Amino acid sequence: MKILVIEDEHKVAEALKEGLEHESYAVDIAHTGEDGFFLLNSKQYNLLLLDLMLPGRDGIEILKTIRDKKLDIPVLILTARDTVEDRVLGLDSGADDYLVKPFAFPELLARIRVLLKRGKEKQTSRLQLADLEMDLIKRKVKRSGKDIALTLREFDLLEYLLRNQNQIVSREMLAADVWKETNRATPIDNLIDVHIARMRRKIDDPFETKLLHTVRGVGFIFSEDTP
Amino acid sequence: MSFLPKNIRTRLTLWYVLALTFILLLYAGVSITLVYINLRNNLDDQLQQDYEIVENLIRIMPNGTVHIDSDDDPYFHERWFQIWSADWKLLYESRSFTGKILPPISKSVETTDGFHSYSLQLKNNVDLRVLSGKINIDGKWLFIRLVRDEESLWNQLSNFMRLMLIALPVAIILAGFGGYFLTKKFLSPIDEIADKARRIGEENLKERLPVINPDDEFGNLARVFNEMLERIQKSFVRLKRFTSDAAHELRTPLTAIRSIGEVALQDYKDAKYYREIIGSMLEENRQLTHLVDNLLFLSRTEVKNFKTHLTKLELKSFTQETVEFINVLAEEKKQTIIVKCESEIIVNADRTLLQQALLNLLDNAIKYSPENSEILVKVNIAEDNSAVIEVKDNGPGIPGEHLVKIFERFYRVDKGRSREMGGSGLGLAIARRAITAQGGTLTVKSEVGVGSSFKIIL
Ligand SMILES: Nc1ncnc2c1ncn2[C@@H]1O[C@H](COP(=O)(O)OP(=O)(O)OP(=O)(O)O)[C@@H](O)[C@H]1O
Ligand SMILES: [Mg+2]
Repeated sequence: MKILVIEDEHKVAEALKEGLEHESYAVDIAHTGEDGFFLLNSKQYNLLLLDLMLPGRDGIEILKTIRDKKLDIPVLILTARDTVEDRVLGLDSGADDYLVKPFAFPELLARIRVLLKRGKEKQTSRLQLADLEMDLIKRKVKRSGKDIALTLREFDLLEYLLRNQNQIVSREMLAADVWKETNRATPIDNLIDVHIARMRRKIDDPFETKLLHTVRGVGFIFSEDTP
Repeated sequence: MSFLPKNIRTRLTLWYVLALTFILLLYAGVSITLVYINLRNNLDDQLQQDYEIVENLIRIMPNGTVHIDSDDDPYFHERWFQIWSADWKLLYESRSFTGKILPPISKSVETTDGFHSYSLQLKNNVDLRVLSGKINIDGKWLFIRLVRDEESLWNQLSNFMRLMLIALPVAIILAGFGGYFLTKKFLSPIDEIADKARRIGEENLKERLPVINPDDEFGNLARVFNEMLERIQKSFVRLKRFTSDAAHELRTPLTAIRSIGEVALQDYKDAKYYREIIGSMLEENRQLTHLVDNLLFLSRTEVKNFKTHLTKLELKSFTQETVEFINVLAEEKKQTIIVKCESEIIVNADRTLLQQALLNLLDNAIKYSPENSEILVKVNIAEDNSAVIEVKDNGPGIPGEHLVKIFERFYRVDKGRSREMGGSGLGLAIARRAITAQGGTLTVKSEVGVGSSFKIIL
């Protein structure tokens, strides 16, 4: 999987490259719109990460040219501008998704995964990690054969963690996907932390192997291995 | 109107000089006409008297000729008249040359009963006033025509006009000057105000415009401007304080990041240690991000054309959902949140903003009240038909002197304690903006030791 990153801020670009390469993507970086456009035309990419504020050619312009040329590459916009109008402009110009800076890296990874396997969302009725099982139809959760009672919200949370197992999920991702809270000025971090703590009490505390781990400063990971 | 002078003083003077000229010209025209009519009437009266005298002097001789008893009239030689027969023959004239220069008597005299007066001008530009009449003497019809020179009439009239011609411009010029100086005097406060206003800038916003006479229009103008200056000054002060407050708030996490990083680099430690350090730095970064997000939200809602998305919203279920959402935080402190709502209430509101405000109020209520306490959320319709969501706690309350300030950005009653709990002091500012942006109000009542009550009124 090859990703092109068009981002003028060198530090951010380098961090993105390293982080993405760590996830086994092949990454090229362009620091200006022109370079990026040249690379897009000369090589094949599976995904474009596009910064909107670029020197020279503006990100929206590049996006429009790509769409005019009918290049069918998924585009994920990264930008510091996050008014509704900006979002609409970005999506109208042909972007597939939109991420506001500063963003959580795990969230970027999650969005990239969604874009790369779009339409191939698995339809399952069961989710599992180690000896923890979730039956999505009966809405039942068991660990080591023992039933675990969860509230509605906890069930949603656990389902999300199971679907994203072995990947770091940030609080932003949980806020947006589990709590459906997209307003960044509504702080629900405390809320999330409390729910995570309760979840631990139910699914981890009585058992030897811990599954729900905190990655300090980043978020949580649902995995058999300790990070 | 580019040909008008730019400054009001000249323009005003010009306008009223113009108006005055117009009025005076009108006045002159009318009075000249009146004088003329008056003089002519006088002339006609004299002619009338002449006529009566002449009438009595006429004798008809037996041979049919006309004789005038000129001896009975001391002024006879100054008179100028003709006598015509009914068949339009000139029977007599007081000066023999007259017949040659005067046109024949007009036939309309015959048809006119009484007298017939008119003016006529001779070829040599001599103006004459004529009176003709019909008389019957001894059964014989005669026409008498009397003439007087209009020279003295025109002399008097032209004297009068000359007087006007001199007096009018003098009056206008005098009035113009007077007006100019008067307007100058009356408009002088404007210059003073302008002068002062020019010198008020960012550094001396405290200064005010001079109010010379508080009761007149300029005094009023200056007062209004002063009130504006007052508002500008206040918002300037607020802005300055906000900037420094914001900078200070940013400084805290920045300092933390810096010290954590610097301390970590003092020694060589294992990966686990560095992971902790980086994690801790990221946590501070989170703080910063939150702060910036909140500030952005505030600045975005403060612009005038901020768009809200009003929809029909049922308050009972909305409140229950919102309480449900945050309830775990209360449960952690063994607090109970009770929602009281008699019936369903439908309002027009921006759901996201309203939820944000209510969450902030609930967050505070939970955060600042003790464990095992009770928080009451009451939804109802007030007497004035507005919808009210009240969040009432049994917490420590807020002292009166802080009550007005808690809605200000970064304002916290107890800085240390609040920051410990992760607060930046923006919660209530955001809540109030979120409510006022959709036309509502957010008010507070509090009693120390009893509790606080925040009311969202929509
Ligand atoms: N229910 C309450 N009881 C007592 N004090 C309160 C209550 N609500 C607010 N306050 C006081 O008002 C101050 C301002 O509240 P605000 O919500 O704006 O800031 P914060 O809670 O300190 O921080 P933030 O909401 O940004 O996390 C608080 O610091 C607190 O001292
Ligand atoms: Mg608060």
